[in-house]
Amino acid sequence: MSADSEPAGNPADSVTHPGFRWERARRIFRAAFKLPADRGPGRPYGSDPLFQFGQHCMAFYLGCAGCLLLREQFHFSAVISSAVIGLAGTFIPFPDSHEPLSMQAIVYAGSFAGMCSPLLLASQPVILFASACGALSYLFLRPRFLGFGGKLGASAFVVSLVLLLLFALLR
Amino acid sequence: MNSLLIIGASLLGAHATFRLAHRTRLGAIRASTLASLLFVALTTPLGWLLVPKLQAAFFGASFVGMSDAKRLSHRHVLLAALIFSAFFFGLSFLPISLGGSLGASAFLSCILTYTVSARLDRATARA
Repeated sequence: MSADSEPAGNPADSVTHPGFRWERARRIFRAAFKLPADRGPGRPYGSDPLFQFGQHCMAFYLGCAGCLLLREQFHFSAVISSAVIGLAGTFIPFPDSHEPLSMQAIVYAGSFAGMCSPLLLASQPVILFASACGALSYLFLRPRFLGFGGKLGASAFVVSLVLLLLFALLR
Repeated sequence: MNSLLIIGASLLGAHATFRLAHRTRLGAIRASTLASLLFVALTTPLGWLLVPKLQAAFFGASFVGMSDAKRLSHRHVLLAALIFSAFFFGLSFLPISLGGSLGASAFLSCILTYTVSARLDRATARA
């Protein structure tokens, strides 16, 4: 095979994401979350900050909505609901390309946010907004406080404070 | 007496999670959740009024136990759990349940313990 026909560099680098064209936002996110700019084989999105934010958002939502569901529908206590959802999250087979440990952790963090008073998490848009805030705060805290316990709860607490502030302002 | 029980539950929660996470291959999240669920299963039949508070204290302190052994040693984790129980008494005055307040208290106690121990280590190294 001639050298001309070989693709230059890592083939994964040539993957384009038509949905994510906000280079500036990506650079800001990468700096805030201290993400490396690598894209390894089998990781087509690599550490694309917008992709990471999206997947963390969904995982946070899963934890938060699951905890609320157990509390509201099955009348479990907040502690049991959160622990059950956290435990269930560790059995979700996240693919290796999606940082499974981080995803399990954020499902658990979402379940802490679900321990909030149902008065605060009153509707689906509020839960979605809370998930976005939770994912942002987790991605911000994770690289700065590696190895410290309570990081997940702290990001959930940020969500609670933001919601409380918004409710106070909008009332 | 109630305060002593809450402090005991906090210490037990941090200790059990730390040991489970580092002596088995469970990982921090499973260690925290399994220890908490076991504690809930054991204490719910007691039927005391204090039981929900004890469970919350145990659950919150289990976040302290999720710390990495490279950051906080076992003794530091127990000290952080003690500080956490002090924060926990403060949390009982909140008028509304805020999600993550237990975790944030655990986080603050871990950071406080780490900072104080690092300062003390530096001071003893200088002396």
